[in-house]
Amino acid sequence: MRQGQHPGFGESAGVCVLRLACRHLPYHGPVGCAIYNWDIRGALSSGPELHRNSFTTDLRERDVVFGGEPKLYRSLVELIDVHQPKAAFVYSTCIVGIIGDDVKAVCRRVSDEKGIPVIPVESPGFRGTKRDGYRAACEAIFKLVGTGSTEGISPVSLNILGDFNLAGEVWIIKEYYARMGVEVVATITGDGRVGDISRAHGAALNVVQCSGSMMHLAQLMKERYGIPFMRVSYFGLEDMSEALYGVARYFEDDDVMERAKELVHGEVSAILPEIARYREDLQGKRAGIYVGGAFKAFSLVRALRHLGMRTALVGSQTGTPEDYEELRRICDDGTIIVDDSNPLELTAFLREKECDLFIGGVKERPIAYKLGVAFCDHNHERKEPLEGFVGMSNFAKEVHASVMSPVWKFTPRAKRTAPVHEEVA
Amino acid sequence: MTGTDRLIETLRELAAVDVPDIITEERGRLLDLMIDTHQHFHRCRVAIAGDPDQVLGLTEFCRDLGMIPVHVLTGTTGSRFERAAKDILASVNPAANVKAGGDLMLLHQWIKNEPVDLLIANTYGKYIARAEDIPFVRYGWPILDRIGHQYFPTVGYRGGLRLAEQILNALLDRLDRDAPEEKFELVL
Repeated sequence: MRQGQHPGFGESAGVCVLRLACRHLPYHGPVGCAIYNWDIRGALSSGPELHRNSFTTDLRERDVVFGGEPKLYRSLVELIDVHQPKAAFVYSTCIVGIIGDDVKAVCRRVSDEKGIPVIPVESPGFRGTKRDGYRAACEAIFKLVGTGSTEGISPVSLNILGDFNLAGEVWIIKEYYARMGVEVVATITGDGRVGDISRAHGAALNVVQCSGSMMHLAQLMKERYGIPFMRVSYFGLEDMSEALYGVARYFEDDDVMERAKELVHGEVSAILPEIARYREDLQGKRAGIYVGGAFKAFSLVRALRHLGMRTALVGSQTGTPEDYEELRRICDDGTIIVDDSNPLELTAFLREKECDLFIGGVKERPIAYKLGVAFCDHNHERKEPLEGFVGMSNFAKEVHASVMSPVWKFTPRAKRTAPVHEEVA
Repeated sequence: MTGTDRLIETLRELAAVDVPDIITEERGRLLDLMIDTHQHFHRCRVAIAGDPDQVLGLTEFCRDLGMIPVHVLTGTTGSRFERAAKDILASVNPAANVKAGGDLMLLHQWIKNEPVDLLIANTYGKYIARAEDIPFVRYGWPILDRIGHQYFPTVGYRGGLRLAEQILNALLDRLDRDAPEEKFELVL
């Protein structure tokens, strides 16, 4: 059944828009649907914390039978009166998709009455896959773009797309761009503001991270406003540096490039000794990677190389054939590359390749642990920044800590791979 | 873990029998728990005080969990203790403070000079724990201010399970107590 195979649709739509700090998003549906986005991602805000709440219309049997529109209307009015958000996004859930509530009409009515954008997001789970959910979210955000004035925006400016400010990462990146002399207009959606997004069309460039979620928005902005976009990654030394150099090259400004070079040089020199220390212990060990989008996998393979580790297994949920071609190019021969895998497959491959480390999301952790393999959680629940130069240092520390823990030597895997004679103390 | 493994191994060799599944399963449960929680124990600095046999076992177990024993002390005199402790600590902290024939005054002084994240001792340790605001786990003898010793194992794999749980609770209680609001977690 489609929904069972792709439970991420409604959730992924929620994930992207969730991080806007000054708006709220009621879920029109039973209360359980709202839980998946209730403050479980480490997205931080410099201001309003409305995004950490989750609102639901709590549809019950009566509403399902007689229609949920009156309840939605009442809920929206109440929420807007109490919280005064700058915008509201309304998510439909599976139930709403089936009973056929006219969410668009209710939203239009409330928007007229209250004078703020009230935007429906068509996200019932059965509608599609994770990627479709991202598209729906991009469409919703796009409705806000272009509604504000672009006065006063520097020609050397950009929007950051696809970063969700986990553990304050967007602040790290913003600071780098600021040091280079580039103005950041809007961050979508980490620590984002409705006001900024409405002006986003005034920026000269879009830098897109996590291209799975926000690429569609970048394309929409290119079509409508002619704003070019570039894909970047902020993980690992090369990719982080390239993210800064790429922007500098785009603006063809020598000052900006000079400052970028200085920044990169300073930051990298600061952390290289530490990385070298970790590398001593980690040299030669093997890693497995399984992430949502293939773009992150590229960065991880490169980052692991800095630590002296070989990637023996790499995969993603949503990678395209082009992505996998690229992976084949950057990985060593004999690396297993998988697409849209499952625990059984991953287990078999991890064993076959005798990995010492597995990098994935929360769902991959038990696989690693049960096999006696160290684990690094590179997903959105993390609380430590892994982006930027400081992020690389954190990543190295975390990898080292898990791989070098003494607990692994008690596992069957250690006995399989250990030298034959072990001295008993 | 290492200690109990050593015991089981020795018994197995002496008696020339197989290790029954029920014991292997107990070991598996302890290993499972150690792996699932190893990130919380990682590099946690610990001070251990008590009777020599128990302290040596505790030091070994703390090391197995990924912690760093920093101060290791017993009131009983004898140089074998110091040698054995240093052997255990060679791979993790050769510069640890180790003393046989020591006392709580010395331990307190050590801790003031080099603070720790956890103290494991008998009830008398509570004064140091309170003065230095350190998470505290009671182990050894006497424990005068808590109950349950006759029911809950403190040795073997099951003892390891209980001890790991107690240490983890002490560390996580502290984490919850001192966490800034945005780091106050539902799931740990």
